[in-house]
Amino acid sequence: MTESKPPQRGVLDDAWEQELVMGQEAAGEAGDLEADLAMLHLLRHARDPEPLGEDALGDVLAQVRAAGAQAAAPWWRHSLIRWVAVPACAGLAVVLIVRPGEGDRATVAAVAIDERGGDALSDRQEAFAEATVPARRGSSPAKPYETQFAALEGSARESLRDAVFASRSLARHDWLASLGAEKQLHEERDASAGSRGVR
Amino acid sequence: MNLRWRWSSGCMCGLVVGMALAWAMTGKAQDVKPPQDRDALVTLAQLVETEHRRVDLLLKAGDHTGAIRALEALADGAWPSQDRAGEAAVWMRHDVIGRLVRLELDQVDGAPARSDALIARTENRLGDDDGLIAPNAFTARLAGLQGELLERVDRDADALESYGIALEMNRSLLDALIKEQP
Repeated sequence: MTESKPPQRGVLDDAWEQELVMGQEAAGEAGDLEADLAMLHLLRHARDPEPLGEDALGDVLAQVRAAGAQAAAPWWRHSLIRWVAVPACAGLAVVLIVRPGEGDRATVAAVAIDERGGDALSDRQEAFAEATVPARRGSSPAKPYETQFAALEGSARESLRDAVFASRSLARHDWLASLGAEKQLHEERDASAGSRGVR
Repeated sequence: MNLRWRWSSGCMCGLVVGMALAWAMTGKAQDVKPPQDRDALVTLAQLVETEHRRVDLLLKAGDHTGAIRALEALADGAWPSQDRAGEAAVWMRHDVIGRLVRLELDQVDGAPARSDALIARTENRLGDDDGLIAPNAFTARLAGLQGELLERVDRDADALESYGIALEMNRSLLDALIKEQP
């Protein structure tokens, strides 16, 4: 008695898939065929690869590249760290080092004014400083908020004085600049009038 | 080319972000917002300076009523807005009203004769800029003075609230002052 041999089938034969599905149906839809079908598709693809379209291939390559780059690059080589965080830290350091302290601010303003030839302003600044000091009298030491005000008053008046002084300096600078522009305009007018007279 | 552009723009963004952060972080709590109209601030400062000197002289001569009237006239006069003359204008006004209220309170042991008017005056000024005034010593003192006024007219709950505002503002200012000092 000869044993009936199963029919010769290629890997790509659809009968594999059909038999698997029929078997599952016969068993009352029990079991999961996903893994078997996936293996079947893989074998079929290995035997006869299906070409990918250009777009699909591009997508796959991009995904592979991104996954590889993410895994390979250390955290400090990420673009966000290199191009934003590092310069941000540098800018922070520059400002912290370069920015003048509060104590230097008045000096900086005074130097700026001296450079513009505003020496006479210093007398007025001192006068204003003296004028603001007497306002602190009359405080009652019995109240805690008055004690706190006494502690904070000096710094507050200094800030106030700086603000007024800076405004006065800038206003004076604008005024001098406008005077200079006006003078230059007059000179140009005189020069043009003179040239017309010569002609 | 594309990579270079990305690199340079990323660098610029990072620098700007870092500098802005540093500037914001190191800003002093008592820094005064600059005015739009510098002349207005300078003129106001000169006026306030002169009036304070006049009040000094009146007090020296023993004319407390005259000093109070002078401060009232100054406080009720035309003041430029905070937008125009900057935060310094608000500070100066609160300083003037603070001095006025202090003078009134020092005249009597109990409630001043015009307590209601003084309370209304402090309430109006503490509501400057919808009450969104950056912490400063003058506003904190005015809030404290308002508390003292309210306490003298037996409005203890309101007084506590005013004292709370003053203490909270002073606490932040003192913290900033301590951090500044080496």
